[in-house]
Amino acid sequence: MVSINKRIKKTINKNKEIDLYLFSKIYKFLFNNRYKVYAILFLVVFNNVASKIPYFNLFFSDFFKSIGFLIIYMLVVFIIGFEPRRLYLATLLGLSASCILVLLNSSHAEEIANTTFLLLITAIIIDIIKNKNVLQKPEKKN
Amino acid sequence: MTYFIKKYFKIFEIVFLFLLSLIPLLWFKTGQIVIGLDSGYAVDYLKYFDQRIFTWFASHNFGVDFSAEVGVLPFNSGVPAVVSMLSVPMLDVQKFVFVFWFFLILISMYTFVNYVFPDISKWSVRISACIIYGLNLHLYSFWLQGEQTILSSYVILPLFTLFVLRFAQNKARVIDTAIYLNLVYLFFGSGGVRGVPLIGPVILTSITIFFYYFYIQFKDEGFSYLKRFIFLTFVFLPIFFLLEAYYIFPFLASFSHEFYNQVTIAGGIDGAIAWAKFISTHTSMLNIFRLHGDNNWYDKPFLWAWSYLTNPLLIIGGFLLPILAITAPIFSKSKKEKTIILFFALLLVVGMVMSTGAHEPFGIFYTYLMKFIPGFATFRSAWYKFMPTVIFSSAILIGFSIYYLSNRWKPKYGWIFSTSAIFILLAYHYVYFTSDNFVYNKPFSTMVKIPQYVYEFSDYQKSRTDDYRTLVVPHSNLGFTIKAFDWGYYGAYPIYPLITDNGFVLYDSYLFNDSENALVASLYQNLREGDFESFKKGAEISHIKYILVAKDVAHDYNFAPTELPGYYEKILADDQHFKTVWSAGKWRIYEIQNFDESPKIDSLNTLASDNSDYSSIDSLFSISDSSFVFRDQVDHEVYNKLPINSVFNQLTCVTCTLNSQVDKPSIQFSRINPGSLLYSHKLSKDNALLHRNVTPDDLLGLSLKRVGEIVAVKEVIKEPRSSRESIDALESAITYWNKLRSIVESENTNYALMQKVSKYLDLEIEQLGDIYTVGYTRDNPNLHAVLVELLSDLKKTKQITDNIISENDWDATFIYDVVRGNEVTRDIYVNVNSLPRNSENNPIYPIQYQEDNDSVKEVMASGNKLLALKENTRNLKLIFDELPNLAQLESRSLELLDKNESCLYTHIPNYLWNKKYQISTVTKNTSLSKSIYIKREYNLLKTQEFNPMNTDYFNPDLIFLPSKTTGQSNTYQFTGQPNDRGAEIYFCTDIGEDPKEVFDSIKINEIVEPKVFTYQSSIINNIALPSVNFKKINPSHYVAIVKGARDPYILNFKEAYSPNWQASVNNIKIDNHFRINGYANSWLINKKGDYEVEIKFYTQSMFYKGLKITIVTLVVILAYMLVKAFRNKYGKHK
Repeated sequence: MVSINKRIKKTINKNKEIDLYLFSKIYKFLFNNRYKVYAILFLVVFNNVASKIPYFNLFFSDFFKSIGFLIIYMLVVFIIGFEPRRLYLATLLGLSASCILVLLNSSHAEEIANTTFLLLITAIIIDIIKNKNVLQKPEKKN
Repeated sequence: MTYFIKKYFKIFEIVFLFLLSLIPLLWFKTGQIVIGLDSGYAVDYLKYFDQRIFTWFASHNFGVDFSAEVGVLPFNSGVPAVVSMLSVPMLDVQKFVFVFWFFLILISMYTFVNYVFPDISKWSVRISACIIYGLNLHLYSFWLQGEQTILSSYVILPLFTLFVLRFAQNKARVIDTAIYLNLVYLFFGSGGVRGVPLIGPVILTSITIFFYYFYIQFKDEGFSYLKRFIFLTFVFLPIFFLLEAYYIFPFLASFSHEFYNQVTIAGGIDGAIAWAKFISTHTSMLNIFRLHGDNNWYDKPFLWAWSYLTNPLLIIGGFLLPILAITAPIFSKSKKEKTIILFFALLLVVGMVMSTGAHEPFGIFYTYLMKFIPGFATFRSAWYKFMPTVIFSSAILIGFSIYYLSNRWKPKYGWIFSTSAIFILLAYHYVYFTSDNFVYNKPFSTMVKIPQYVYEFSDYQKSRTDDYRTLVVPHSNLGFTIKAFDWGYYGAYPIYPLITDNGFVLYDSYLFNDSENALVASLYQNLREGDFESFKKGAEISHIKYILVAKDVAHDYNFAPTELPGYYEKILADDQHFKTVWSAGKWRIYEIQNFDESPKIDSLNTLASDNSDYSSIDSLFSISDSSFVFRDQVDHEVYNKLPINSVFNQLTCVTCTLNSQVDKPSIQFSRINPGSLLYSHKLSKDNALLHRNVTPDDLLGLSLKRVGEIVAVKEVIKEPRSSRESIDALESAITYWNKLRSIVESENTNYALMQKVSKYLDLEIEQLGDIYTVGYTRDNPNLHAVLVELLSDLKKTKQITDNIISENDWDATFIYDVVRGNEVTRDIYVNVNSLPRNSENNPIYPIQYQEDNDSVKEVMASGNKLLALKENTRNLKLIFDELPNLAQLESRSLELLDKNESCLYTHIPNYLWNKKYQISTVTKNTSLSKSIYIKREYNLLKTQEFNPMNTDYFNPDLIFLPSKTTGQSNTYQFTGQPNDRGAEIYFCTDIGEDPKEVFDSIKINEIVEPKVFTYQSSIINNIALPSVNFKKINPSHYVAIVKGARDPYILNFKEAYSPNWQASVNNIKIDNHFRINGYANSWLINKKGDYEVEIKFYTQSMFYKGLKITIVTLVVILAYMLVKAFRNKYGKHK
């Protein structure tokens, strides 16, 4: 019978491995996507700086409000890429998020729905393009 | 047993769908039918159908051209009439009609899904898709009106898609596809030309199929696919034109007229875009995803849709639908499934983009299509027109997802899952199983119990033997031509043509022509004013012998109030002029006494010519008994041949504009102001305009622009760049005003311009005066000097305009332009009805007149003749004694919401809602509070949308706040609402104070515009009139029997003028067709002897021709299909 101390020790070691594994995964993910991360950081910094410039900030905030959904869409596509299955899943996630936002009476629901729609279009178009050769051809008649 | 179930499973499915199609039976309550809004149902189906088979719809006003409405015939009136002919009781006809359409929608969808997913195991796809397609919320809005054209558009979509898809998949031949598509369109084409917007989903789906299959098989088939579609189009179109000829022919024959009408209704492209934006208010992607977005659903807590917006379960349910739809492409695995599912996913997003219409973020795209693609503006109600595409594709995708999810379970549990999913879908659309949602806005509903007296009215109309029209009172609301009755009817379409084929005249949007409008308006106004003689003249030329008083009109409806029926009852109670001929319940019909009973077709030998605008009809009736033509409505060549015996010309009042309140201009701010990098460019661009032909309006606009810029930068005007460019701006403004001043000095009789310039001056002096007073420019001498110079210039010009404007009391002095159009006579008459009235309600005549700058002379009026002018007079000034003051002041204290006040109050004697009143007073005391309140006497109806406020304190309808400056004169104007019973005016100050110490020279008077005209008549001798009798073959065909024609004469036909009315003798067309009396048809005929004149509505003959072609084509197609079927059978046997 294994003593209680050993069992605890084993659990701790196991958790450490898990932690390390997770860290390395996240690090690898960030490293592989470092340009996307730089782009996001740039956008965040730019947004902050631009919002401080007198006169320009009025236009800037209006502009960002109107294309906010497009920016979110670009960020999502940056992160998940053009894989149809992922895009469909992101769409489903977007719809679920919209549903929750509607239930919470949030004004951001429309923005998320617009992003979701763009993701859906992208998913369908890429799906059609990727499956072009797989899709059923019309019957040939003499 | 299992074999049996498998073999006949699809029959069970169809039986289930049939059971679903009995849902409408849950909606009808005892004795009620659907009517009003856009429903298109009649009270008497057969009588209505009898009218609709003609392209001339005679019972509405003076008749309406229905040439473009023929395609609607099978739907709006055809189906209910056929059911009615089968001896189905009137109250049950709609139950049959509703079930018929419900089943057709379900079965058409079933046919399509069965083609795409034919396996027995995929029953859940078929049933789920049919439920979503047949029981969705978009369609429910239309079920609440039973709108058959929309219902047929739901039937056509799956069937049309089926045949296009089969063709794209190379499973059908060109000729067969063209025939099937045309047959589907023939039976479910959503109303012919009028229904084109409704087949938007069909067009969109077909285009998507074309491009989708073109893309996926281009590599294999290349351009042969394209060729096949081009070939299909070439075969489809000729068959289409032949098969649909019955409505295309009459439409093409009346195209230009119809186009004008449609553009008028839509307010042009800009109007269509504005409408599209309004309809798209709630069509965000968020709403479209969950199949919502109807503009009527939001902000109405009493409406059935409210639960779908607020109930958390239904919100989640709403989002589950798109989640299931979007899951379908992930689930699809096989080639066949993937192909069809991806197509519907693509159709879904295309449909969504179109359904959002003018809503962001794709609104720009939609408005661009409306602007630049000819004819696209017809799809102005984007959500209503394109949403079926989204629902159609969603239905297939959701059905597929439900099937796939059920397949992941063991078969037994899969069954349970599918059944539960179908049950949940039905539960989500629970509104279909309730019956109270027809209420539009209580008490108004689309499902109502028709009062017994309406049926009795229908019987009475059937018993009538004459063909005279009936004028309906009270007058409809002018701004919003809805017709609402207290028993629930609510619709833009009048109810009378739905009951009878006798003619009824009322003011509404179907009076397309301005002169028709003016004629009908004058009938009502003369009746209101109690001028029986003028009313009778108007009624006789309009062929109106009866007046219907509908006391059940919802006159107190807040959205569209109408006049009080009781008001007319008092007038019509005069036995000398009117006699009751029928009465039941709340409707009563009066006959006009001493009516000249001329027939619908008669002959005339003289005419009056009205050379002024259409609003002069009243004045013309005050002097002339003849039929008349408007000079500008008759072709010059024809006019010269007409036997004109009198010429009428109403003079234009050039100073009356000073009695109307002009909107004050307001400062418009710009982003580019003095100090900005781009300002010098902007200024030089504006100043370049001065070198062209610049109008006073341009100059006023530019000056206001400059002042706006100075106001915008006043805080930073001291900064060097700003101050330098501000000087440029002010100097430019000085230039503009120098030009304006010279225009004002030279055009000193252009009172409208004076008034406008004066308003601009007031604003600019006020704004620049503030800058001067605060001292923003004081530190910069140059800038300050320019500002002072401009202010001084403005004040100089203001002095000139004020002198001109205030040179007379324009309430009692009127200047008329005599020159324009008056080349015949110098005798001046006045329309007595337009004169101001004294306290006994008697007309007040002008006391003096002045010709140009001559001395003032006394008016010696005799009846309606005022005076005779000298030759070459250009302007006539009429001077009245001071007009009577309507104020009869009494003291009263008022309890307002937050305070009490002491007031002087007066009731307005002989108040009429459509008159304009002026209140004037001079401020006497500066320290006490001053308010003028106007309180109209009226009630408002409580509806679900509107709850009238009942307060125990005084709640005025209008508040004016007089100036605080002692000696300052204050003038205000107001006019009432149609449902007013009277009006009171209060002049109030602090409680305990005497209002007489605050308000001086209180005066209330009616603003009048005396209508002055010239009239010259001469006797035309020796024109013999032939006798004319006529036979009415049908509403679109009359035969006039002319006997004893010796001289040229005018044949007068009292149906609304249309170029499509054609007269002929022995098949030779008569030219010289013109509009008479502002609305009717006339021909100048120069043929002697006895003969018959055939009068036909041209497009009716086109309808007959088209119908023959349609029937022959249909027979040929059916014969072809029959032969083909025999051949196939014979071939198989062989």
